[in-house]
Amino acid sequence: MADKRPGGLTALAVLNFIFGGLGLIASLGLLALLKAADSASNGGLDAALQDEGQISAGMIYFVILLSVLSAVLLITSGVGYLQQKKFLGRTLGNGYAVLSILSSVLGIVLLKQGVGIGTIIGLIYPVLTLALLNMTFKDDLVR
Amino acid sequence: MSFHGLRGPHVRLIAKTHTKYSIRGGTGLVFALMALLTGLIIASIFVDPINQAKQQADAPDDIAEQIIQQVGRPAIKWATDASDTQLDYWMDANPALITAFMLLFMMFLPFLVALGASNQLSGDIGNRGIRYQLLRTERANLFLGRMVGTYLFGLIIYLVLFLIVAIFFLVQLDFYSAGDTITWLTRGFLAVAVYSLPYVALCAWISCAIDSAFGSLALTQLAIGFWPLLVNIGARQWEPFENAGYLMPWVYRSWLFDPSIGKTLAGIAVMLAFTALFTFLGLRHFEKRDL
Repeated sequence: MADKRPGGLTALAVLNFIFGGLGLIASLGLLALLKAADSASNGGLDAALQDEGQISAGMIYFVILLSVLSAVLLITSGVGYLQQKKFLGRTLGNGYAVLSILSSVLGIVLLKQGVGIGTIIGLIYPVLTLALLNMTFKDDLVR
Repeated sequence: MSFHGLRGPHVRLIAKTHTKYSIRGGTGLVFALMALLTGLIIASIFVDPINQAKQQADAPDDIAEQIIQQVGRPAIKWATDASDTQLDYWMDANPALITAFMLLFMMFLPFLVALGASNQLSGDIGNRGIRYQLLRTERANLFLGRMVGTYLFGLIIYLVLFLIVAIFFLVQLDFYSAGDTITWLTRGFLAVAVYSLPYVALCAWISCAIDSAFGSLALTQLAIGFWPLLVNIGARQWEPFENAGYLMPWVYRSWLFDPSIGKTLAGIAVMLAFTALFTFLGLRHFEKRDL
């Protein structure tokens, strides 16, 4: 089954590159914005955040770090899907999905975001990835 | 004309295989993702502002109801050209937010259907892979089997979407009673199921006539979007041209939500008639064409 790459796996790899690239840009943009806000307020960002919503800048940096890690995993696992590799594709793809679900949960708990439709939209791709890698494309990622 | 060699068990087997393996093809995966994302983004457009207003205002239910009536009602009247009776039925007698979600989703549905159904046969015709299958079954079985399989796969995805929306409305928003939410969403799901039928058949027809998967996708999207656009522009120049819209299923979609049972049944009959017409034209073309 691993001889010929299914069209769905190629599509999944392309989607990984798109979402991974966008995720990296968004995370680095947010990081730059936070740094700019911190220097504009002479290092008072943390206190301002604590006053506003009882969250610290450290928590936000942690969530950004998770997002960057998710984006890197998306891109590397995308390469793994194209080459039909077991570790690079299936293991890292599963790693991305679990990390992404975890960061959504952390976002709700740490940053006190409510569970909105936006949260569900953010969970669709990781859940779909988990289902596809462990059922539909299980026998295609074995090299 | 007769469709030579049409066999129920063959059609069932092809439909089952096509449904099961749709997600393995790139088209099925992209369709599933796009349908879920589009549906949820549409739901969030209506739900998020109401949710925020509910959290901020002192009289949450009143403010939400105010937004629905002042913003939602005119917006839906503009988008669907509905009568006052229809608007009362959609906005007062039934959960207005769910109505708004379903009506907007129905506007996008033909384009989503084309995304998932445009490559029923064209890819295999293009790479000659279909010749191997024709050694084992007749053309009519292949055409109908794949069409039914594509339709069933679409239904599964819409069902997942409607379940997510139902759970969100019941658990998170808690704005309408469970009975009203489930009944109205069920009606919406049935309307989506009926409304997507003629478009799957139209895609099957175009797909069996074009040898390239991308060409088929482009042509189906164009066929679906071009006619309503042409009618809209034409009607501004010459009002009676508006009636040309009745030549495609697009215009009849709001009939499926009509308060009158007669008009709803007429809407279903029209959708089935369009499906029969497109299926017949597709089958006739596929039987005659060179493969």
